[in-house]
Amino acid sequence: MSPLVQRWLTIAILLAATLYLSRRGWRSWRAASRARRDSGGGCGTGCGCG
Amino acid sequence: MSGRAAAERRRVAPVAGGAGALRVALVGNPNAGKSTLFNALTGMRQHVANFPGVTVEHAEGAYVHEALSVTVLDLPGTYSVSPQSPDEAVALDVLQGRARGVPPADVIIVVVDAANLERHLYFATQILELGRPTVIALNRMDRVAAEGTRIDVPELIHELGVVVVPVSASRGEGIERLRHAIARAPALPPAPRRIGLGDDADVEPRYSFIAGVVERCVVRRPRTARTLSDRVDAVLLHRVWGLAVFVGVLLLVFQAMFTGARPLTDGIEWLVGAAGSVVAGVLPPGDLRSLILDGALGGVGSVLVFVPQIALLFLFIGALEDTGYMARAAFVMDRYVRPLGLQGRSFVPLVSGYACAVPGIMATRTIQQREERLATIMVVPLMSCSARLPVYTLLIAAFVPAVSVAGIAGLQSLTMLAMYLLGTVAALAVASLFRRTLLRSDTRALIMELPPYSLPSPRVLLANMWQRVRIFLRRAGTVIFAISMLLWGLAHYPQLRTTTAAPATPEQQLSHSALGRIGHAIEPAVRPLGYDWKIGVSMVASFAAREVFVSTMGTLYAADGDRTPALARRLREERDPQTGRAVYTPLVAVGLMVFYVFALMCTSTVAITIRETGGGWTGVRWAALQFAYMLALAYGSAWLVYRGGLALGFGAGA
Repeated sequence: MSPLVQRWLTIAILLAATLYLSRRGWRSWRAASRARRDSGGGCGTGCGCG
Repeated sequence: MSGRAAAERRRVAPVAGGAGALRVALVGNPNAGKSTLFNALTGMRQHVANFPGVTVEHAEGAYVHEALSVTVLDLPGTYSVSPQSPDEAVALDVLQGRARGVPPADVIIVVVDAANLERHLYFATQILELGRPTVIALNRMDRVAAEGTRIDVPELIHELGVVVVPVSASRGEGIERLRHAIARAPALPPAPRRIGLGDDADVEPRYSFIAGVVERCVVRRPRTARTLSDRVDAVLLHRVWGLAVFVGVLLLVFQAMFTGARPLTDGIEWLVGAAGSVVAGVLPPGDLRSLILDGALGGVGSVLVFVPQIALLFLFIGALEDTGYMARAAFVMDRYVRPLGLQGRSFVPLVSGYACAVPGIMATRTIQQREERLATIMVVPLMSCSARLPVYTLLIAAFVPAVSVAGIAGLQSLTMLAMYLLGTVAALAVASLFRRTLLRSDTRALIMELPPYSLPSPRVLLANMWQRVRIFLRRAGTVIFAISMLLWGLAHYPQLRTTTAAPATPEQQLSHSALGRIGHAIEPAVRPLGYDWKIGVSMVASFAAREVFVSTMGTLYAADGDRTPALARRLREERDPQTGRAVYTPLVAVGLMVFYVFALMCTSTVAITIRETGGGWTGVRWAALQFAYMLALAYGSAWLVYRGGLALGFGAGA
């Protein structure tokens, strides 16, 4: 695998990781906002604890 | 199953033997064995504990009986139909069909502890007066039989006018009979409302009715001597011995975590190393290879090695809860925390905080008084949770020698115990401060049920442990994995332009990278604590989640060019390029651990605090106060440890 291909693949992976974390952060924020409105729901943080 | 799906399926044809769906609510006093019965009915792996009020939110499960699909809701433990705490209110709202998004139940199962019939019938008779199809599950019949007590079930049915099914949920006895009774309950006439004993304002008529029922239905063998349970309680509940046993139990747990997890930790370390060798063999040198080796394996691998210790921690906490010991610990602590403005009930969420602050904060719903509940919420995150474990373990393994102290315990486990005790003492002190300032009110007397001692079920313990390990692994495989990748990117770009004759050293490249620049920018803030920019960057990254500190260090030190030695050894060998002195000294390590004892670095905890303190701006204000005071406490304490240590001559390193 040439260094150029490696570099492009690396950039693609880093972009995917950024996208994943942004989406996750946005969803957690939305879930927390929803949970604030409806206190009967789950923990709403997506952490899975409890 | 989602609430909506359950709602659509309910009340199809609640007739025994025919196809249809039924919705059943499981209620009862705390510690009646609801969660155990829920598991026995549905086979669902839900956490079961001998701990009053453990079921803070209702769980849902399902089973099929004679082609009838039955959905079971496990509701929080409740003492009466007049709710005293938020979780009791949730249970009663669901029972009366007032809970938003939760349809009313077709059948109510009241779980009654046969060994404490008189007390548990108080709530049961109140439920019967709702006039809904009800079945009483008379639980713990095995214990009653072992005590030599006989309960006349047909007479009880006659007295209460409702179906009563004797069961032993922990042994799975009587479950089929109960399923059968549940399937038939909607077709039976509703429970008579003839008891008519009034509300909670006048408890006397109800208690005298129950006393009559118990007198006619229960034949007890006279107690001649103190039971084994009484003798054990005499020690565990003793004001001095009880506390000594509690500290001893914690020490044993930490000792076992260090020694027991070692072979597995070594195994995982070897596996991560082997995976690295495979990648290094397949991919030629380049960015991608470095990303996988230093970013993914260096970051995630450094966190994965703590899985065995986290598994053991949850195993021990589960075992202590399920044996009935945790409730005793809360009882013992009541007399110590009362002068601080708390009660033993507050200690229950605090102990839950050893596992994770999120369920700990949710468990404060059992606290009736608002001020006391808020004070407890504010300090639960000071209890050292499992996410701090990787940080403590890494630093202890690196800087605390594995020697024995007086031949009793290892210095490493004692250091770990000291961190846990520091968090606990700080939590109690801060709670006391809150109760004397912002959250002043009288402290109520503690009325708490001590569950019987029981042998925990290995299956339940292991299932609970696996559930927690799975959550940790999922977190490591998703969030920590992605953060490690990004940190690798920040540590490698922009790249330093050099010539082939004089290539940049890994240290120069790291300093030139975005992460290096961020680190150098924040270095003045962490320098007074004795930290260099790498620790500063790792601390900032771990504001998302504490364990990210370790994965960041793993990524940073792998990016630094040396990926072979284990991270702990790498930290010991790290030298300041200018002075040549060791960067990480035992003093710096202790200061760093103290910082992590106090700092609130968990977005999940912030979110749950916002919700549980009232939501909206009120919740945001409490969460902001919690975050700010913990950060100030962490910084101040770490500074004191470092500066105090230097002044006392503990040295800044060789």
